[in-house]
Amino acid sequence: MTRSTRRVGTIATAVFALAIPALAAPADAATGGARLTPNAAQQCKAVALKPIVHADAVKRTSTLANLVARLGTNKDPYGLNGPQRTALQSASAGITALDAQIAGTCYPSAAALKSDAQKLFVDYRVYWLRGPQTGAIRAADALAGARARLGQAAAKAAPLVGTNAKAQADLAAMNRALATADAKLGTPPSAGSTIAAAAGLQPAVDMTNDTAVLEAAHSDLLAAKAALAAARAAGLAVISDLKG
Amino acid sequence: MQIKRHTGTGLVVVTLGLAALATGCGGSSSKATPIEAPTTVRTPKTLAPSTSDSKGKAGPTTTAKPTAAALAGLQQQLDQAGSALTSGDSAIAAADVNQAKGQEGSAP
Repeated sequence: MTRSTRRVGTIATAVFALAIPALAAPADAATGGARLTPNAAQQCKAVALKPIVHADAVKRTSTLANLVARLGTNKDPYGLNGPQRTALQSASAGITALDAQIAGTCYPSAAALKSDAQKLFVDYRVYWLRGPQTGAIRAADALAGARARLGQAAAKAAPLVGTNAKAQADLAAMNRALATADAKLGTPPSAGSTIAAAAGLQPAVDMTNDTAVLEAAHSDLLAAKAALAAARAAGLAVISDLKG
Repeated sequence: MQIKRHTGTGLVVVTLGLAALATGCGGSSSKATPIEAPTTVRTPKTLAPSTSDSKGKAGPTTTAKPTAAALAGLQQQLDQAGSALTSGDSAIAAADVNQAKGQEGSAP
């Protein structure tokens, strides 16, 4: 390709770039759309920020869809999944609407646009709240499944230990560990207090309380998991005792 | 059964037998009724309660070790519990607010 051919191509591209918005503007106006004419766009401030805000919105709706999908694969022993799914879907719809509103608004100042964009973060708290909140619910579901299995194992072991003192002691340790886990995790259909509190949290401007509640729930989940692991170890010891 | 067995000895015996049955004492003699027999036979000592291997058997089988099948069933339950515990690891990690909040960012 010669230099002159390339130059012609560049000029043609520039002509099209100018012509297409000019042709599109009347169509948008006819439909009452919020798209801005070139003249109006010159008066709108911080237009360059809109793609950044849009990317943040898309990232969040994608994350929310992923959280909903993960919840969908879980059993729901505490009845927390349904309300959480609704909250996530509602947040996604809200973010999509806010994104459209920001895209279609001619902001008189950058501050005005930022004020709306801030809602994307503060009003929804997708990562600060919804992510860990959903994680806590999913973790509680998984641990409840493990707890149920271990409870069945303990019930199965009870008639087997007989007068084997070591097996009796290990079974007692298993049951104590299960009780410890129950105190943190709750007993279906009632979730433990911190887990239930975390599941009920709402986005806030000041996230101090939300963070504290989520930390408490996470701590209890870790403690419940440790207790269940201890119960399982004690159950394995019972088997070893009975084989010996 | 008692009534039939003693029919030939006279009306008095039959009457006594009926009276004993009516007061609930008919089965308390050394001849246990068919319903009571399994319980009394199976629990002569405080040894291990019966398991699947001792069903219907008496005495020594109640003291035997659990069968391999019973222990395998127990092991299977514990293995499944272990898998469930592991499956919750990623969710527990996701529940860590201090890891997650950094992704939130702020308006440009």
